[in-house]
Amino acid sequence: MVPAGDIKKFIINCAKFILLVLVVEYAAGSLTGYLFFRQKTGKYARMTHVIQKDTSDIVIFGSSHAVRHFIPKVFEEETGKTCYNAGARGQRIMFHYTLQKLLLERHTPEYIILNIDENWMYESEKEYGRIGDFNPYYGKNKEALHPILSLDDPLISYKLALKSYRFNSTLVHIGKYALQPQKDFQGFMPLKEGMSGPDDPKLKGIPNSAFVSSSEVIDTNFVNAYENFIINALAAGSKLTIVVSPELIFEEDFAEDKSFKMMKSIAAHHGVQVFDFSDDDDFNGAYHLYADPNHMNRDGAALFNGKLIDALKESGVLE
Amino acid sequence: MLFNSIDFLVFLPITVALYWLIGRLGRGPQTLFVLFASYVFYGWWDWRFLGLIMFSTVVDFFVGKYLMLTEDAKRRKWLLFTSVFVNLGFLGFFKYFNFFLDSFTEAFTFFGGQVQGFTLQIVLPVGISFFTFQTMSYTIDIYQRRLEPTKDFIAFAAFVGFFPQLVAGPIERASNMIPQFTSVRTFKYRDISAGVKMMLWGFFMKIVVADRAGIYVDAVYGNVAYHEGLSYIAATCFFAFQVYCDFAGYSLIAIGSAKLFGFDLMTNFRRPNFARSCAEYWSRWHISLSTWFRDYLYIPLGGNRVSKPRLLYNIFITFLISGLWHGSNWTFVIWGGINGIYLVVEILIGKKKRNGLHNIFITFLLINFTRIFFRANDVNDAFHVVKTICTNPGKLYIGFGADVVVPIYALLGIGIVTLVEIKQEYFNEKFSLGAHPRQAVRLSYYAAMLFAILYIGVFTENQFIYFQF
Repeated sequence: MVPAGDIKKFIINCAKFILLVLVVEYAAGSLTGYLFFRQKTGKYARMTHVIQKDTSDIVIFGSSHAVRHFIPKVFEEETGKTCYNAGARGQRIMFHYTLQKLLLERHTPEYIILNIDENWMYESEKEYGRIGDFNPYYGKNKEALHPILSLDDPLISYKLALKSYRFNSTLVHIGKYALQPQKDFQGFMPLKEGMSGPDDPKLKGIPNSAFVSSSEVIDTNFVNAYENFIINALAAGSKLTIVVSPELIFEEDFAEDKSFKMMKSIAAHHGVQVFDFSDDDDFNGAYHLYADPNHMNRDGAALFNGKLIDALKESGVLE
Repeated sequence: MLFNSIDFLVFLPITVALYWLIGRLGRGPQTLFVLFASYVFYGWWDWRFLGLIMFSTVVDFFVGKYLMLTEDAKRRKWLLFTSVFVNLGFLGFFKYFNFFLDSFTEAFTFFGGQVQGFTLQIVLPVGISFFTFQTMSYTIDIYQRRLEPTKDFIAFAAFVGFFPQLVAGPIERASNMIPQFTSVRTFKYRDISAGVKMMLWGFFMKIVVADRAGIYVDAVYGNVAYHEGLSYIAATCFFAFQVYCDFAGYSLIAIGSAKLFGFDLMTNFRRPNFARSCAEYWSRWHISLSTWFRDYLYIPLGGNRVSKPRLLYNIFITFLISGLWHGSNWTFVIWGGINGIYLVVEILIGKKKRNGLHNIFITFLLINFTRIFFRANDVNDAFHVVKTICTNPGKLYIGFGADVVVPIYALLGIGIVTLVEIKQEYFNEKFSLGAHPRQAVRLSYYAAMLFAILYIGVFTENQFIYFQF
């Protein structure tokens, strides 16, 4: 039985509720959007800078290795060109490919440096989730972002029509960096401490991968993203260099890693040089140059940047 | 299909609309439609397992019918045995076969024997622990002459397969549900409105609290070799809210969905975190399962009308089996056993008034300790966690990079749920925005809740924890 009075009441109240939800969604969503794009420091501020403002001659991409190991000031002093570190912690090739794509739509850097990690081609569910960092930028970059974001979720365009979903979970970031602004070194985030030696407690600490699990199955989307990163850089007229950061403990099977070998081979196929510092004796076992087992401190980064720039000049990549 | 999926978001309104439209044709076609929709819902996962539900339905319907037709005690026992054998047989094969085989192999090897271990690749059908218990209660009730069997097969099949509660409860009783299936349902605005509100709060608990807290819990319990005591304490506290908000959220969505079709399901949770003793906790947590074990295991064992040692034994055994029901892993058996010990100790201490916040806190801590075993991947991990908490408090893990915000959002969600439950527990209808006399306030409250779900929820369509059971 369906009493007409109840149905009418239901429909009217549903309409009122939906209208109210849309008003709240639009008002609160617009406010968070406004606050989001006003951030001065932090992860999103750096992304916004790259996507909307950056005009540097040299732009560096990569994960936390890039963020911690590349000092734009050193590059600027050594080359006389402007430089920005667009690295992003915890992110892998899908993110960097997307960021580069958005940057190239507006500005073509003279040089692009991509710092790669050996496991980037392996399947990782988390990586698909983490390209959600681009959700807030969907509004003005729909055409560029849709093919990438829809890899994880075919219905993403409907979801991102809601401002609340677009800016999902950004409020704490906004608050955190408003209260505790980060010092900005053109995207570079230095680490200060050094490790004492093989007995340093940090070697027994929590791995960076605590939130990221990685299988050893190649993901073709990641391979395509990597190859397209190279193709897009070259097509835009940028000089592209691929770099592998130094390792504290170099393991012999590192070079034999399936994902790593694939990335090197794709780079070679496109004529892009790879500068591999993973087994560099100056860094392997040099505990004082590392802040933790995965990242060099500022001294390590400075030494590494010096050696890299020399190598780039020697090979004629950098003038 | 998951409640927190786009599929369900499309499926539910279409099903509700068609259901009430078909209602014009009469109760029969409407019930048939519910059955059809329920099978579509379940078949969305794996249609092959629909055969199990259908087989269980047919067996129990006819067992119930013949139990009524015969007075012969021996024959009645055989009929009941058939029902229990089929249902527990399904459960035993799909859920426990590999567990018992592994345990047997390990025990044999431990005592010096040599046995070739093997396991079968068995997929656990979703919800098997729930629908088998639900349908078994029907035949047991008829056997004990507490219920008359239904003659309406479609109503019975719809009772077994009713999609809102098919995969994770509440484990309903035929005495509550079958009369609802065999009577005319009326579209009532009040019920629909209450159902939608319950679902909204259920989604908030699941998407905002459970799935967010779960990120931290997984990071810690998924890497037990790397963490220290404080992190385990934090992760176990987060897990307390994760599992509660996950399951209570699911139950609210189930009860709310059922209301959209004009059905009333039983309450499954009554704010268990406010319990002042472990016994009270179990009268507030997963009530449909607790009462099932009470009615079909504890009371048949003799209940509390026995000597004290036998009473303690009955309680302990009931909890041990309840632990095993949760999963085919020794961690669950230990979890059930510890809870059994708690209740035994409470009885030995004797009845006394347990008021005050400190009793709530102590109960929370005691129950939380058992959750280490509930959450750990295996017994070794669980003991490692307990040992590390006792010997090495260490540093609190808060995540890396952007993940640092995970615990903050989890705490925000937990804070909101706790405040709402404090209001419900101690102030009843006072200060209720959801039941405010002014409609504008009520609607704004629920609109804000929906915005909060969209704005701070986790949208990775995580499975509900109890689906694995």
